[in-house]
Amino acid sequence: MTLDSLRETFFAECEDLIESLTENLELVASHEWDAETINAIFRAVHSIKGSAGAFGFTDLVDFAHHYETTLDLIRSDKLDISNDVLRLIIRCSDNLAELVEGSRVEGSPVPEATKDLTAELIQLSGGPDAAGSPEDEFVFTPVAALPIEISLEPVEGFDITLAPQPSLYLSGHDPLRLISGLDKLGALTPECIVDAVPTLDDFNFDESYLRWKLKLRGAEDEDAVRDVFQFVDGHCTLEITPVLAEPANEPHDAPVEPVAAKPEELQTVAPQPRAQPAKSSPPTQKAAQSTLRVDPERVDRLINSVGELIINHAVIDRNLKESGLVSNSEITTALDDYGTLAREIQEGVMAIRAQPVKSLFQRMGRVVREAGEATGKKVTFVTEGEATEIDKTMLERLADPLTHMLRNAVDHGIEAPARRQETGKPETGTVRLSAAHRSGHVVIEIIDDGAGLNRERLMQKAIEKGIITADAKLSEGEVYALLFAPGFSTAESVTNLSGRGVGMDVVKTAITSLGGKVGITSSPGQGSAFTISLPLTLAVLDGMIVEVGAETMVLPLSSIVETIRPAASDIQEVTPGEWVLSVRGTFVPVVNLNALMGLEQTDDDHTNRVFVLIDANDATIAVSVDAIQDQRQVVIKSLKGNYGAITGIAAATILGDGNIALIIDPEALSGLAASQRAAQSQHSLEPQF
Amino acid sequence: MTDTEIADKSKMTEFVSLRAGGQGYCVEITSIREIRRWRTVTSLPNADKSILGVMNLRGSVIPIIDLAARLGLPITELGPRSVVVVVAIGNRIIGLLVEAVSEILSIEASDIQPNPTQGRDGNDGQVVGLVSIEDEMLKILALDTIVDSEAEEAA
Amino acid sequence: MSLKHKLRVMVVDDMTVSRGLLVQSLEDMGLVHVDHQKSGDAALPLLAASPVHLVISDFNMPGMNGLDLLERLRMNQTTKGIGFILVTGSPTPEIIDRGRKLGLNNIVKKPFTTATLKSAVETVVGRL
Repeated sequence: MTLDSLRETFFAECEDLIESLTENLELVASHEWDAETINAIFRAVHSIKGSAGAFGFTDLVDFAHHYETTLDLIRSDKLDISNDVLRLIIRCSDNLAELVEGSRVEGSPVPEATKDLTAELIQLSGGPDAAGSPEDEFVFTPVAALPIEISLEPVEGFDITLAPQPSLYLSGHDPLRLISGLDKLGALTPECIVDAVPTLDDFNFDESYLRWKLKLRGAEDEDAVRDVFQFVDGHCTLEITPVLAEPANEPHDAPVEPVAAKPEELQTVAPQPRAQPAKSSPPTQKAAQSTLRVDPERVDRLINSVGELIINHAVIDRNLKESGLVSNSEITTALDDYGTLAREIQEGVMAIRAQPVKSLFQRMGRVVREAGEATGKKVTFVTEGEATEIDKTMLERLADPLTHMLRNAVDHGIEAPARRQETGKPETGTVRLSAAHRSGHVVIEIIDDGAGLNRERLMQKAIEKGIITADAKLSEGEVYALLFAPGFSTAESVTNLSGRGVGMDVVKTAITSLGGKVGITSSPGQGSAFTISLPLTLAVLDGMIVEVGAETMVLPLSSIVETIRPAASDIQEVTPGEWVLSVRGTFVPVVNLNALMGLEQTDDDHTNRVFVLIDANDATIAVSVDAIQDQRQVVIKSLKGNYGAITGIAAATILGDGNIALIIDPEALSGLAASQRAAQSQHSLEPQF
Repeated sequence: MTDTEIADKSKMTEFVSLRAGGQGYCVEITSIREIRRWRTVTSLPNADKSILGVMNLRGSVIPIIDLAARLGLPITELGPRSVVVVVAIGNRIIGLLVEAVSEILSIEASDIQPNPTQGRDGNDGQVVGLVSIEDEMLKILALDTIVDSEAEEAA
Repeated sequence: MSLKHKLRVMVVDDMTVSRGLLVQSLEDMGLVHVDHQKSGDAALPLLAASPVHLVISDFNMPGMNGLDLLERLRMNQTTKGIGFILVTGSPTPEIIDRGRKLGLNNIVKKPFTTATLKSAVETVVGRL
């Protein structure tokens, strides 16, 4: 292992340690801890500190040192875990995680909170002197190990037991040759053990019954002894025990005894220091799940190739159908199998990038608790489906929107304890966070049993803020969706908790950028449910395939509200070249994709065009296209590598016929339309719809 | 002149000669990945006229550039001999539409003359050398200058 | 044969990184027989079956810590003569005290360099 790969391992290991740290802190927070919990917390921090030192991450080492000092006080019962202490050590674990993250990139700034937290830690542990510095000197006089010197004297020889398996004979080996090979190395006393040989009646001629005890004296080189047996490796049971020249230790003839008995002896003699945690018990040690750490880039390449394989299958399938072959011919059957296999491989490869949502959900537990404390509300946090796996990158990018939504659920959803009692609800509210796989998607739900959303108030606020007109008629879903409009806040008083200058619109943007959608349902007095639906991976996208002139393009499904084939009267020209579409009383600006992309229109009659309502960061726009072809998952291909970024285009994908379709970036469309309009107004005023 | 310089001068470099905008060019063979027949591309919105669009090259999306248009010559008319020369420039893979690809030439370094017009106004340095083959002057293209202007465009 | 080629060392550390660093340093010193285990529980039966000359163990491990491992080794006839070096980030007086009582041969403080580890090993087993 090189230092570089060890560095990588260090970060991977830190992730595990921080997960265990979080897990155990959760236990402490929920009062389900014992001494071992605190030990484990201490150990995690200590291990990070220890290894971080080797790589010279001094900021990390310093902070971990102070953190560890405080944890040590708790461990040795010198410090009680008050609520304040608990909050501090939880905040420290977050900061520690950030420091680890920062250490990946040289020159990263030290997290802001580090200084204050360090000061608090020092204060808790009774000032800087009590904590000492990580560079503290220690005094230990080394003790030379005498027995080692002795054992390094030439060994007298080896005791060897050899028990051939039938395969040894079958592969043409002969124990006699092995024994005479040993004889050349020193003085050999062979002894054949025949007690396993059965009576003639029970004799199985294919079985191996003989064993040998071989006492070799005057040989020193264990490797030379092992060399004799190198070709029968795996065909016999072999034990080679060096015999020391000076019998300093009593158990001189111990080697031939079955050594496996020793550990049991030991355990009866030695008192167990404390109850062993199940995960470190010896039988599971060897069989412990081993994990493979892989460079994510390799996995991405693999995902890409598999995507190609699936496209390739589609190409062959199409060509075959065009060739007019009978559909039940052998080749089509074989091709179907090929398709199934390709998809299986795809799923398998995707699974490599997948990680359980457990660690994320654990962090969210803390968010809910903090929110409860800050607002003086009593909240029980329940999680479901922690084992559900999603793409690692997605997992990381979900933390912020989830944090915000959970804070909201506590702040605006759950009522104050008194209010809950008035309405006959239990004083303590419940916020439920769940994850599940549903038909090729990951569905994450945040459900609270709070007051629910007040439709009238939502409408009123939206009208006040000029988001909708006073006479707008909105469906239930559309009313709730107002929550995601920028600058919208339903709280009568903006608490410092969820009013940090970020609205739910940021949540929406974050989810949309992951190719996901958010839905809301709510019933007054009973609570609300926010449902986030995400694709399984970032490498594919749910798209609507549309025709724009001679080209095929893809609109991300996550941004599409609905598709409309309007009546002629629904489309109105406001100013020359500026059109709007009337959707249930609301006027939505029209963006003509053909004009925007500089492509011919197949039909000038706008009633023959399809309008796709798209939610793009701040507004709804109606994108008009020639036709809708299909709705399906497409593999995302970046344009940036070989070309560069194009405004209005997010990426490209390869269609079943091998041609490329551009994936539209809905967020950039309205801006692009505006700038084009400005440029065009100088030239011509062609109608655009 | 030292021995090594003499050795360098007599070093053979292989070039592929091609025609674009009615003129003869050559490109070092090591940067050429493959030569493909023209097929319809997917056009890119609001792109420079020299950028024809993008093509699927075994799963990669590569831009196709009309070399003639890029060099300031009239745009290439698509004909039966039109081909796309796929070149690697740095980390990028790009297709160049040309009228025709002629042959592979081995040219001695000593036969290449530096472009005497290089550095003049309006000269982007796209032609770095000149070589005379059977009475015709071929211009040696510096491919990196073709993508560099490309990158500005994309940014 | 030189001491380097003869000396059998067992590294015990639950953390992959620090185990890797220890093994790497020992191999850099030219030691040939370096084995490693993730825990005292895993190392004990192996050590009882075929004793090594020197155990280099982390202190801070779940379940059996480094000094617990030393205690168990010293209790057994076959393993009681094994040299023992404890690796720890914070050698507190308590650790040093208990170590001394159990017959600890040396302590290495983390983070260590190959040079510091080497000199610690050499004070226990002699010049490599």
